[in-house]
Amino acid sequence: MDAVISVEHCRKSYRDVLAVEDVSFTVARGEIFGLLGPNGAGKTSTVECLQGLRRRDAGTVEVLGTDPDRRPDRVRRRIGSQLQSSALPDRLRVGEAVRLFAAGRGSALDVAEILDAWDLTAVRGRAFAALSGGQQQRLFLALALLGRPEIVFLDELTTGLDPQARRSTWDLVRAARDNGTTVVLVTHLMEEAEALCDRVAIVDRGRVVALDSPGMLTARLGGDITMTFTADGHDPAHLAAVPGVSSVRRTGEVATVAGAGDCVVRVASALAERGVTPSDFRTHHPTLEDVFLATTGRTLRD
Amino acid sequence: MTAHVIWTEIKLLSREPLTMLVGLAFPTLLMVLLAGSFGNEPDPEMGGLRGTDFYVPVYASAAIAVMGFLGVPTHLAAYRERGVLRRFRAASVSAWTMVAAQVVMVAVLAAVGVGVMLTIGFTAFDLTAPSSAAGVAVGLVVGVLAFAGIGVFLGVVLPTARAAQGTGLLLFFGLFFVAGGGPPPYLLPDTVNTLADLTPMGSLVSAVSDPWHGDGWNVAALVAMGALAAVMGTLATRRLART
Repeated sequence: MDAVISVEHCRKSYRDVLAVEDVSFTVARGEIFGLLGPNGAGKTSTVECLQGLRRRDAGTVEVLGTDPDRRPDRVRRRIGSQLQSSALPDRLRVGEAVRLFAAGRGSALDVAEILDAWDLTAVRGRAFAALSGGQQQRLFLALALLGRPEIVFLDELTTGLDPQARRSTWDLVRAARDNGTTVVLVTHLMEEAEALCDRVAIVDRGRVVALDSPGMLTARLGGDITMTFTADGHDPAHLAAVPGVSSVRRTGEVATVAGAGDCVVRVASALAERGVTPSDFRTHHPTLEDVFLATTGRTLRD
Repeated sequence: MTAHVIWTEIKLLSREPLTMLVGLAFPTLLMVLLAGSFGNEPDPEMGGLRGTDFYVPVYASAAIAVMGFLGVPTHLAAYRERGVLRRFRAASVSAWTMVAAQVVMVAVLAAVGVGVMLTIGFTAFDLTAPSSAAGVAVGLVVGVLAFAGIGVFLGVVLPTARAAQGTGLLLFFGLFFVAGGGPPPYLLPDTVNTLADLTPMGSLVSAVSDPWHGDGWNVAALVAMGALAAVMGTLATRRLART
C-alpha cells in the first residue's frame, strides 16, 4: 500500500479537554478514507493536526512524507481542504474567490476553465452570501481541489444540504478521486460514509474503535442480516434448520428470519424448494449505524 | 498572494456600506458641522485657534481612529467567527498578510477621509494650511500603523463581531470626545486633558494637530504610537497564526 498519510497514536487536548486520545490509521493513495463518528468524537481535531492547523500533543504524523507540525507550509502546498463551518466573506463574488485562492496555489490556473468545470460560470458575479447551499458547497469543493492537490480533506462537506444536493456533491467527490486525488472525508452521517468511502475509521471519544471497508465493517460487526416476507399461510418454522439462520419469527402474516450473511441465498432456495416464492422477499443489511452501536453501545445520533 | 489578498480586502471594504458610512461620512459630517458652528474667527476658548483649524486635524484623526477601534476589529472578529480566517490560513495566507491587509485598509480609508476633509476645509472653510505638512503626514502615517495595530489586536482577542462592535463604539466615542472631538480641551478640566493625552486617541490627535498649528512634531506621541503599533501588531500576528 502506497500510504500518503500515516498517523500513529496521535493525541490532542485543549486545556483540560482531551479531544483526541489515541488515533492511528493510514490512508492509501487514491482511496476515499472516511472518519465517521458523532459530533465531538475528535474527528475534526485529528484532521486539523494532519493539515498543520493544530499541533498535536503526542504521536507521529506523516502527510506525504512530511510532518505537518514541522513543515506546515510544505504540507499545505500539496493538499486541499474544506474546513468545517468555515465560510467566505459574504460580499466576495464567486469569480473573485476562485481567482484569490488560485493565486495562493501559485501555479497558473485558468479561472474561466475552473468556473466552467464546476458549473459556476453562471454565478461567477454573485456574492457568496447570495449562493444556495449547494452552490456554496460546489464552490468550496472547487477551491479545495484547485490545482489538483494530492490529498483533499473534506470536513462535514454536506452538512445542511438537502438530499439531492448531497447526492450531487457525492458525485463530485467521486470525480475528484477519479482524477487522482486521495480524499479524507470527515462526517457524522453514516449514509455518507457508506456511500462514498473505500475504508472507514469509526471514531468515538478520541479513539478509533473500528476500521475497515464499510462492507467488511457491517459484515463483521453489524450483526445479523434480516429477511422479511409475507408468509401467506406458509409456516416458516422449517427455515430454522437452514445453516446460518439464528432466528425465525412470524408476526401475523409477516415472517422475519435473521442470520449470518451467507444464509440469505440458502433461505431463499429453501423457500423455492417448497414452492414458496413471495414477491416481497426483502433483505435488510446492517448499516454502519449498527456497527457504531455494537462497538460503542450508543447510537451515532446521540 | 499577499497583493491579491490585500486587493480583495479593499474591494470587499468598498462593498461595506456601513463601514464606509461610519468611517468616512460620519467624521466628515461632524467636522463640517463643528467647523461651521465655531467659524473662522480666532476663538480664545480654543486657545486662539479658529474653529476650523482646530477641528479639521482632529476629525482627520477620527477617520483613522474609527477604523482602528471599530472597523478593523469588527471585520476581523467576523472573519474569525465565521471561519474565514481558518480558511485563509489553510490556503497558506500568512498572519502577516492579514495584518498587512488591515493596515492598507486603514490607510486607504484614512487617505480618502483626510482628502475629503481637507478639500472641504480648504474650499468651504478657508482652512489654514498646516505649518509643517511633513509633520502632519508623519503623524497620520504613524497613526495609521498604531490604530491598525489596535484594530487587529482587538479583532483577535474579542470573541465575536458583536462584542467587537460594542467595545469599538465604547472606545471610540469614549476617547474621541475627550480627546478633542467634542468640547475644545480648553473647556475641559485639566485632569481630563492629561488623561486624554495618555490614550492612543490623545496621542494621535496631538501628533497630527501639533505640527499643523506650528507647535512642532510631538515626538512623545509619535514614539508612543510607534510602540503601540509594534506591540499590538506583534501580539495580534502571533495569535492570528494560531487561529
